[in-house]
Amino acid sequence: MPVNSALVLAPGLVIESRSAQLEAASLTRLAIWAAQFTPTVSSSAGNALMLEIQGSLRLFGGLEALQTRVAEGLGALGHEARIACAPTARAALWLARAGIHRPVRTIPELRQALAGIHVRHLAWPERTVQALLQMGVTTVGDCVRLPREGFARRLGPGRLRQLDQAYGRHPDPRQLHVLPVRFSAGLELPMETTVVSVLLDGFNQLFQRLRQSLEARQASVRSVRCVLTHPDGQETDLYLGAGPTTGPTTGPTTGPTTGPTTGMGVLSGLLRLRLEALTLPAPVTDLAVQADLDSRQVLAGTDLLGKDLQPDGGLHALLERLRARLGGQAVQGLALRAEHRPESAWRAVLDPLAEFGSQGGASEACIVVRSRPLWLLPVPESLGVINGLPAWHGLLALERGPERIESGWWDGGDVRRDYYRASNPQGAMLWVYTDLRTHAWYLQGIFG
Amino acid sequence: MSTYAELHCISNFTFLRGASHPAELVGRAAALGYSALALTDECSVAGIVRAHVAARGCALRLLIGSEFRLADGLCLVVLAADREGYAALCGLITRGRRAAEKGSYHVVRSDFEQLPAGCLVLWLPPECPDTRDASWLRDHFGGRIWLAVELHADGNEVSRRTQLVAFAKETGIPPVAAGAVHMHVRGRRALQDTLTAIRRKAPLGSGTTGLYPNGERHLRTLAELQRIYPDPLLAATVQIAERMHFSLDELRYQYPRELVPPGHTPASWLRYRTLQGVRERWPAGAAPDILKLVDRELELISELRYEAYFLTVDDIVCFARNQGILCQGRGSAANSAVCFCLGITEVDPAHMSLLFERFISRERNEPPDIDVDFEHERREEVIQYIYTRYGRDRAALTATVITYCPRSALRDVGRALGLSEAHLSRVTRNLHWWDGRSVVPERIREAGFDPASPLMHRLVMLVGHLIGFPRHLSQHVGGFVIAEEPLCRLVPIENASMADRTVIQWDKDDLDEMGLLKVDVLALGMLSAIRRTFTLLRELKGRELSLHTVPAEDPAVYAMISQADTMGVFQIESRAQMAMLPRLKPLTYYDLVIEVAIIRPGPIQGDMVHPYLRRRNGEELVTYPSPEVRQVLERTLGVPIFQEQVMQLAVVAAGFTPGEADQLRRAMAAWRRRGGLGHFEERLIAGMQARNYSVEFARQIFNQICGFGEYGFPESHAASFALLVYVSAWLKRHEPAAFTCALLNSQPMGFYAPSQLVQSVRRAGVEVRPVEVNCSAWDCTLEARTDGQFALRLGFRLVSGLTQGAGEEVVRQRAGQPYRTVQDLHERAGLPRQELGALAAAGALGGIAGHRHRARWAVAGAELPLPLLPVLQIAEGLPLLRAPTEAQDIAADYQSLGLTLGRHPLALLRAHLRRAAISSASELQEAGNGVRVRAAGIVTMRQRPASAGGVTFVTLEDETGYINLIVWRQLAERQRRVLLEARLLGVWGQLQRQGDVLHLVARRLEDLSSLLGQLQTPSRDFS
Repeated sequence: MPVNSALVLAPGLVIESRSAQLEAASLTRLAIWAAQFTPTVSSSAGNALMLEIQGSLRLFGGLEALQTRVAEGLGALGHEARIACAPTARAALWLARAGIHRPVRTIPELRQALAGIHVRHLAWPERTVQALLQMGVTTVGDCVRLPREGFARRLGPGRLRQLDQAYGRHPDPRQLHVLPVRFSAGLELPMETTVVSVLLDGFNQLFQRLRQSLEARQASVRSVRCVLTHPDGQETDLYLGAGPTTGPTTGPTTGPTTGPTTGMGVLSGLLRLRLEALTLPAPVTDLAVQADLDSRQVLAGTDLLGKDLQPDGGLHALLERLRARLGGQAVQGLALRAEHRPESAWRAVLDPLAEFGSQGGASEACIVVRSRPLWLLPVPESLGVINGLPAWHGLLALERGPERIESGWWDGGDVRRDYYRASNPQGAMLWVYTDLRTHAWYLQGIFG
Repeated sequence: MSTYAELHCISNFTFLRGASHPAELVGRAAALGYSALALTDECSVAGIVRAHVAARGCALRLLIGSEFRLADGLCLVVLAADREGYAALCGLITRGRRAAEKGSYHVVRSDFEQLPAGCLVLWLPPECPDTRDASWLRDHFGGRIWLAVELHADGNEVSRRTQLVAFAKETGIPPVAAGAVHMHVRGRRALQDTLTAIRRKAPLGSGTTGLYPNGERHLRTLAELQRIYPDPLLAATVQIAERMHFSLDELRYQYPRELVPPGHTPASWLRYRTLQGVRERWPAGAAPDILKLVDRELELISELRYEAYFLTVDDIVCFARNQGILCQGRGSAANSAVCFCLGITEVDPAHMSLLFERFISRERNEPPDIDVDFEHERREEVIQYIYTRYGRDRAALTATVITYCPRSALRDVGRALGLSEAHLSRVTRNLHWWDGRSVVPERIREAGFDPASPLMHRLVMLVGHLIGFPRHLSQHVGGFVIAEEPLCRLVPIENASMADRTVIQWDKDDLDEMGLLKVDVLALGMLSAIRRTFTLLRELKGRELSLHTVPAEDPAVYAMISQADTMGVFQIESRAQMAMLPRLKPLTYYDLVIEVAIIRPGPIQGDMVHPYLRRRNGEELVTYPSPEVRQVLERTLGVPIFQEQVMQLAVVAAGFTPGEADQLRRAMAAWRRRGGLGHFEERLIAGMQARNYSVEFARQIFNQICGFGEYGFPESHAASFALLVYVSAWLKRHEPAAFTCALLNSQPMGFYAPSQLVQSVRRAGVEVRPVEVNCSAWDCTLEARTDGQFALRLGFRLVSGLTQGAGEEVVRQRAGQPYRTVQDLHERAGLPRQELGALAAAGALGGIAGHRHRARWAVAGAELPLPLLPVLQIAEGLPLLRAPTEAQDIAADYQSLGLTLGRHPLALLRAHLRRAAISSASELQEAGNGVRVRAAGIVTMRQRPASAGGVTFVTLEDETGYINLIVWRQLAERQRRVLLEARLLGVWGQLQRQGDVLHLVARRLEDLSSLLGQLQTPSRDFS
């Protein structure tokens, strides 16, 4: 059903988009969690986990107890699970999708249970399911009653293999989950200290170990956690790179700092800035560096001859340094907007470099501002009027204008103004306007 | 300086830039005391006729021009100073438009270099004008080129003016003031911004580029202009305007001449052709009064010089006849004796007491009107013939100006205001098909928005302005303009969206104003169906029939019509018509003419239906206030039903001249939109009083005129339609199998879906056979039965998902040798598996593969042999497949064919329905008036005619027949969703019986669709 039709039926509907990425991340997290029950965990089709539990039954006190523990554990994590249990992985998967919870232990039981499963629950492509339904084939039982060769010819040998796998007639190898590798290294300082250079030296040693580890695994990191431990056991954390992420990393992030950096010099340089800006609550006894290694990302730190390929130590690095020193939010750029109201004709941007190349309307907007001052008052200042003429530290002489601006009705901020360039007796060049509705005068900006 | 002429002004025919209608601009310019206004839409003169009409009677002179942005960025306004200049301008626009995709244009400097002296040029200079451009312009347009100085309070007016004046002096191109006007008043600023945002596809506030900083681009007062421009610049405008003498009134239209063979004049040739026709129509010799009528008509045609028009239509109709394409003319001139003789219409003037002068008037200087309907599937051949006959430069389709309707306006304005798509869908989806022409705040509230919020306030206000704005030019359904000289000297021609189609920039109202010849070449599905029936009868029974040889005035046909058994019959098959038939009980051809015309919004709203019925049934005395009125109204028992009667009444009873009566007709057509019947009211009532008619009678006539409004139906059209009504009814009565077969093969057309047509013909006793791969053709066919009757075999065309090529290939490869298996079919016909699947879904493989499930299995297993390899016979075990249930088969029938030959779905549910005390349609027929009942049926049609005061008519179908449901406005609003969405509708209601006509008035509705499961039941919804 299209969203529009749904909205007609239920106007109050809240629409959220589905994120395959987040779902995959959740499933990975759950797979790691499930490793406590069995070393053999695999996932399927984006929303199923399969645990081989024959070997764990005794440890967890039997099937029922184990099932309860898994269900409760998942519940505590905020997930709802449909759990099924069968002698084959494929059958367990299908039973779970069909919502058949009763554990199936023996092969005869398995045959019976499978026979009743609707073909919709097999996660076969819609086209295949439709083809089956059009033949009057609605269940797995109907499928296996058909001639095998005929079935394979019409619906594909893969489907037949899946049926065989479900019945235990064909092996069903699955790829197991591999737990992520985390780099973690610590260093005890020879003495308690707050001296930045000492701390930095220590961290540099740890960074070298990180570097070796990365090279050995052809991996990269997207963020690094630096831990400083104080005598009372309290810790101060510093995150370099993309900042703390919750859980395993899920995909490449984009900020300028997070480019692949095997060059530990960059890390070291960033850390120095952060340490210098930091006031430590107490001396430091231990250092540690932790990072999740990401082997998916191919590194391009150095070329064949070992030259540093970092594209710019320039603007990006400058911004990074400014942000490190002043705080992320304190550094902003300015960008133009195609707007006629002066107060709306500019905006603050976090990443002026990204804006620079992409702003389509910038050139047109530039034309608009050519005769305007760079310094605009945050709020236009009301001007006194003497003999019908505005005054600001003396009577103003209107030198150029009017420039009429009538715009902005769409957001309720409609203005109708005549702008003039004016000068006062002190020689200040001002940008003033008269409101065409009230005829009052205002100062909007000052020419430098 | 006393006055000013605006030389650069665009209207909303410069789509998504101009924010005022041409008439608004003209009216405002006149009110401000401008001496002239040039309408200079961008590469277009589409709005010029409207401006021309508005400027009549104003002191303002309307000038004609157009604005161009050349491919190299140069911007010019070209003004037409004389007829040659105008022709060149139209040619220039045509060239630019034809060289680009629909909606855009492409012009380069060389296009302008040949412009004659009658074209004056304004240069719209860029920020820094280039002296090289100046010298090019001076070289080509010396003495008729000006530099437009357009100042809009941008803060640099003084320096800009100084710069341009200096530049003008340097280059020798004189400066002139201009306004670049986009709107008639400053108040359209918000709308203009909105149009810009729509054009740029960027919501306002998101940094929309191209917005104007202020609202100065409107028609400014003379005082303002005087403040901004020095006098010489203003005076120059008037001097330029004085050099322009062209007015649209100068356009003289020439009929095409090649229709007349050498040695003949148009008049002698038309007389020759007509007398030829007289001999064909009356081989034994025509009656003297016929010959007299023909003579009189020819004389009038000659006098008004309309011979070429009649010959043009004659030529087109001749072509169609030679190609075996059925056609019929209608319209004011079509029912003349001349047209009957020429074969343009089959309505025998002897049957009609029509006065020809009524159609062509000596006073009205306006071409006669003949529309010709052709078989809908073959009209394209006729269109291509016209293009070939006259050439593309002399024949083109009329434009239809597509204007903003509430839904499109809401959508575009909503987007411009930054509403999300989801929000927009909520608003526009709620504007369901029955919400008239304005946006009701109710609907906005229904969509979950607060109509009082500032955003919604802005939305509603802007939408209100935008509704009725032109959006683009589309092609008229079939109005052709044909001229002697190249058309593009009269009006520009541009590309239509259809390939190989071109349209002129004017619509049919514009053509009427300009007196241009137009022939409507229209498509009519019923003609296809009738021609197909004729063909079937000729092939199967050897019976030759044509429109005028179908036996006339057959009582059995009228008996069937009077019982409202008219499903499939032309025009009188609609529900409203069916409800009327048993009351009117037509007995003659002329009754059908009345029947066709009376069930129209006009007569219904003018309250003419009931008086007519009462008089017809003898319940009311038929009286006439005077013999003159009697003459006009006698054939409709004193009640004006036709548009022509209203005009005649104005002539005989109120002393209007025929020309004035025609103005009245035009005013009638427009008064709902524009008002303006006021002075006719006075004249009419005063005129009638002066002729001794009572005030009551006069007022009654006037009210009927108002009720008629734009919906009055002309007798001249009704007469032609009634003939098709009669012929189709005769075919239905006497040849139901062939007629239904032809109807099915002409789909989509008419009010009813194939399912209803098939049920209807089965009730008439015709055997209908299923689609079957070894029997069916692409079309539905007739198969001889042993008893001499014919059975209707459904064709592959009903099978959804089967292409015509595939269906025809099945037939071709089958020739003489039926398919034995699905594999055989697959190999011989070479159908892709998908199309085989479509046949299986339709149940068409039953004969070779068994039930649907087996057929599907067989289709899935069919394989084409590999080249070079012998066909591998695969031995397969027989599959264990359940047969489909009856309900599954019915659902599959509906899904694939849209109909079933099995039981009606409700037959399966009947036991269940009976437990809920739900009666069937046939049981309702037995029940008495006023009885309260429960009923249910599949919704086959919903209709909410504008004339019915908010009543929705719903047709429900069950296995026993139809239930006609009436849903009053209040209930419809309360149960809107159920009414609009239910496929199986349950009703609590009260029966209303009037003679043979039974209605169920709904009190409460219930959605029972869930009982239908997967069944697909399409409803045809009309508003």
